[in-house]
Amino acid sequence: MRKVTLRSIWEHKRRLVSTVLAIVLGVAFMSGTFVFADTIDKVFDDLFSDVNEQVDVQVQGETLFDGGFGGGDARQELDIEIVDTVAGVDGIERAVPFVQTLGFGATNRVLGPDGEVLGSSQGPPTLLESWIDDEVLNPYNLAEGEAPRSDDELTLNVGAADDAGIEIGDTVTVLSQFGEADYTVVGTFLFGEAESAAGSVSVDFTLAEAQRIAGLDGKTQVVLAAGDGSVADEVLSDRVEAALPTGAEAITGAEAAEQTAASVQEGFSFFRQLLTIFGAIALLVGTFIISNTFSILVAQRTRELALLRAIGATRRQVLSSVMLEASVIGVVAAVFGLLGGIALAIAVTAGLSASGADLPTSGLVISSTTVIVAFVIGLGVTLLASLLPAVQATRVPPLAALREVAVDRSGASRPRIVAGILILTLGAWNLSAAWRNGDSDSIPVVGLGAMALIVGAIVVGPVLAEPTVRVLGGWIPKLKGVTGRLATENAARSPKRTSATASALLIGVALIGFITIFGESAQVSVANEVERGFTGDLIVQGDQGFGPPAGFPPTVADDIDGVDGVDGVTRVGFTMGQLGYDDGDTATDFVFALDPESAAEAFSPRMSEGAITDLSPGGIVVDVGVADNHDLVIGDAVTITGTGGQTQDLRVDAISDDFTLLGNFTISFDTYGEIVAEQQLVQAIVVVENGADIATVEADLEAVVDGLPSVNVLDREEFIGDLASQITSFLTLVNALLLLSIVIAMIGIANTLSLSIHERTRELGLLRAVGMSRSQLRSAVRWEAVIISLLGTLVGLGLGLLTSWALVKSLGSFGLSTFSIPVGSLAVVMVAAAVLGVVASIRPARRAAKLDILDAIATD
Amino acid sequence: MRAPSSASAGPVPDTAAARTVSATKTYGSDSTAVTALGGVDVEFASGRFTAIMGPSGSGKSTLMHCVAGLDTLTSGQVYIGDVELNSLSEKELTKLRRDRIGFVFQAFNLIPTLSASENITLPIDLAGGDTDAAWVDKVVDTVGLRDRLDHRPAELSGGQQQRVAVARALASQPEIVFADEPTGNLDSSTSAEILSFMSGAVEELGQTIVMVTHDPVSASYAQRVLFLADGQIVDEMHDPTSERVLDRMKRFGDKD
Repeated sequence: MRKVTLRSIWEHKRRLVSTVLAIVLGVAFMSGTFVFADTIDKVFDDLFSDVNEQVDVQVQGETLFDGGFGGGDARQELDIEIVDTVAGVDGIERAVPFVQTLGFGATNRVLGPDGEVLGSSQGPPTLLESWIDDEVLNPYNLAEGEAPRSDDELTLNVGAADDAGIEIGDTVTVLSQFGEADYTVVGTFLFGEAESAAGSVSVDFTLAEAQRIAGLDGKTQVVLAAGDGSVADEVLSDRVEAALPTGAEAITGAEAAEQTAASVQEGFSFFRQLLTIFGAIALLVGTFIISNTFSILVAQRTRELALLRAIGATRRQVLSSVMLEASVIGVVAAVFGLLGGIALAIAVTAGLSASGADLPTSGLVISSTTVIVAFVIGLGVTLLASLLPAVQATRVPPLAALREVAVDRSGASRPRIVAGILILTLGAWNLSAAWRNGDSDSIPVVGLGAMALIVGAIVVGPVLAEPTVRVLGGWIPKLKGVTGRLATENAARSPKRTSATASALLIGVALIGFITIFGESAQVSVANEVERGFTGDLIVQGDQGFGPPAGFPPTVADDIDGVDGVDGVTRVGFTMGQLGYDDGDTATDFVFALDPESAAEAFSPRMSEGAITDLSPGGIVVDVGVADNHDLVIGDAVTITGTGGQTQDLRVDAISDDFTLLGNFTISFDTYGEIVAEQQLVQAIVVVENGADIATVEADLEAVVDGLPSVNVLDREEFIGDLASQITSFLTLVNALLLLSIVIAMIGIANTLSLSIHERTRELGLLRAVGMSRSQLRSAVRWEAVIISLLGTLVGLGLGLLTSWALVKSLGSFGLSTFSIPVGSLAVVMVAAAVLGVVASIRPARRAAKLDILDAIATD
Repeated sequence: MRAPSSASAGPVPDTAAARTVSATKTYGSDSTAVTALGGVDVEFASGRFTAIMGPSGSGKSTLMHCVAGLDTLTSGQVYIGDVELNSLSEKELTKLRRDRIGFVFQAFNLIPTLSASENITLPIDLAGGDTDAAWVDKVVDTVGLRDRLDHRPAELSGGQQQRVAVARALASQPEIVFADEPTGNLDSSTSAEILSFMSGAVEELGQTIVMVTHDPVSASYAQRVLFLADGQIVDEMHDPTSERVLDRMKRFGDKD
């Protein structure tokens, strides 16, 4: 029995390839994610444990709140006197303070002698640090020159110096919250043995200067300490902990290394999650294809299986024969998937390096977990997908050996109809929560409804496939005559098969449709909101991307104010902050800072209660959604903790209803200065004097920000376009990855067609004999593929439309005011599906056309 | 057995609907070559019903396939009317089969997804031409399928399916119809019905039919029987009866 199975697999090697491909892609994504994650983890674990090797104990402020975006926690600042406290602990030999400020966008960046900014804007950050004046505890080794001795000197890492062609003695400019300042380069250093820390630009100042830049005069962020070797690090750490004032904590050097590595690794978690999700989608789509392929194979082998049964094979033997075939396919898929995954991990690592994240290059990490997961997924998914067809195979009665093989034309079994309608009803009811409740709390229910609708559509697919295909293909005979008629009939003749093939496509298209429609709605909504509420003429802003917006120093706004023709400048400051309410809840969120007087010129936000000009020092404007959730009214108290560590009591001055313009929280600049150590503007909104030429002012402003990395001057139109393009660029990335599932679905269509054509050999031979030309035959196969593609695409787009509509309804309070259908993009999706259907049909159609007529019509 | 009236000799027309000149077909390479046709010269007269008989492996199917443009000769020529088939491209051959030749096979004659009437007009529809509605009507009425036109093949009996196949072969008014064991799967009374209809088409509509069969009774419906053995035409019989054909066939057995 096993021989029969293995022989049969070997005879159909080519079919095996296309079947396996679907699973290979899914496994590749999954295992690639694992390899990538393990490699990244190892790289940073090694790096930071090397660097922290001499640090036995690290003292840091207690966590204020999770800063989000992989930036680690916001922590309490420490008074500099704490260094002496630590040094005085029994067993501590040495202790030093350490201050580090992160730079990206236009703040805390370094400009070389030629005015070019060091490092990339999207890649690893610039680190402005205090030079540690202790040979043991300093993680850096001087390569050339010396350490900074005075406040106008700095040293930087060899990699950054080499990249920018900076030599010792050169003058560089540092852009901080206090504007530009010049420094003399006095030395270069290595990071362990590496020229940079994962591609970062590391710049070291005297402690006093580093403190000043960070806004931490007389304070420090951490204290690094080394013991005299008398006790274990853990004991030492406990001793230090006992000596510390409240608000500070001590951890061992090893723990500190882990913590640092983890926060860097967290920065890559976006890639991991993305890859895992797309791997899962690919596998889901692949499952349909494998299952469908096996169903068809079993149907085609009915005679062979019946013969085996007739000569005495038991049902169990038939079952294990089919499952054995599936196992072989699963193992092959796992092996190639794993190899593909390793290739993918290499590609992703190379891609990240190319975009600036110069990853330290040590070998790829392929853990046993990765291998096990690849095999469990590859084998598991294949076996699961083939289980149903295998059980079908056991139901073949021995007598079938003597009968003509009948194609399974069934589709509408009663349990299927009942189950399908139940699931669809459940889905529709859950989805309708968006209209019934219309707030963001209903999103989980709506999501459940969306999933149920997709499952329901797949379940009732075989019931509806035939009539739908006839409607969809109805116009083709008018165009292509009997060829079109044959194509439509062939697509309709086996509803289960057609439906399963279209379902694989449906999943990907539904997701793409959802993303595209939702994205369009978001763009249109944002544009409408800004058009309505934004009254500035020009806007200066840092690049926006994933994560927190890139800021620029407040000094830039002063320069802008001095430009001819500028009537007023509205500064918009930004920080992460933790809000505390009377009901005991806390939330971490973006907090924007405005000067209420000038803000009124730049914005006319929609307000629920009060006005934006009501905002006073010590006050806060909260969004109506937040106010509703926490029963806030004007005059209520809210606490805010900024990255600086101080907690302030604020009074609710007004309640806004304009998430797009104001976000959830707006405070005054006075409060802002008190809760953050370092001020950053994300925008400066300019109102131009009456009579001044906007274009001239814009050109003057551009001259001001020229040389500042990542800062742009936009007019109203460009500003709205910029907001829209942020949404577009993210959606494009997601859709590009979703294309993978479409490609897999196309492999499925090609597979199904090939198998169907094999099944119809006689029929095709007859058609050729009575005068169908090869091109007519190819055309018939092509149109059949187009009909199946259109079926999957239309149903998929329909589901995507409903789901995105529901989500837009649920997110009304977040500024999603408009549901907009991008007809053009959806038409492109439709046409693309039809074209991909044609592409999928090329090989099967060619095979059909090459068929030998005599073989096909031979009676015996 | 009833001798069909159509078997009576008519005047032999002087034009050939199809003919071969030393038609040779071999399979395989030199050492293991098998000769299916060994230089056959034959003419199929226009407006006549010719049967080709012979034991299994005699080459009768190969001869029909080559004359009908389904297969190609190793050497020699085949003519349909004045057209020499070897000189035709694959495209031209397809067009020739579609426009000038009709086919009836033993089984799998119909496209299961098309209705009876769609099957009948299939070659015409493939050509994209206009149906000669009056002619098709006449054919449909002659085969007696008027009330079955909207049915799918699966809803028709074996006899009805073959009648649809014959109707399709005639609908495009081809110069010649090739039938390969058209009654091989039918019981004797249904067979008689189909064969009478075919001979009727020759008599009344002037159709040319070439039929391959191994059944003497079927052959007796033809006006002329060619006997093939080992790739050669070994005998010919005009106005056959089933008894005479059976006698002749028995002699093949004797010789073996």
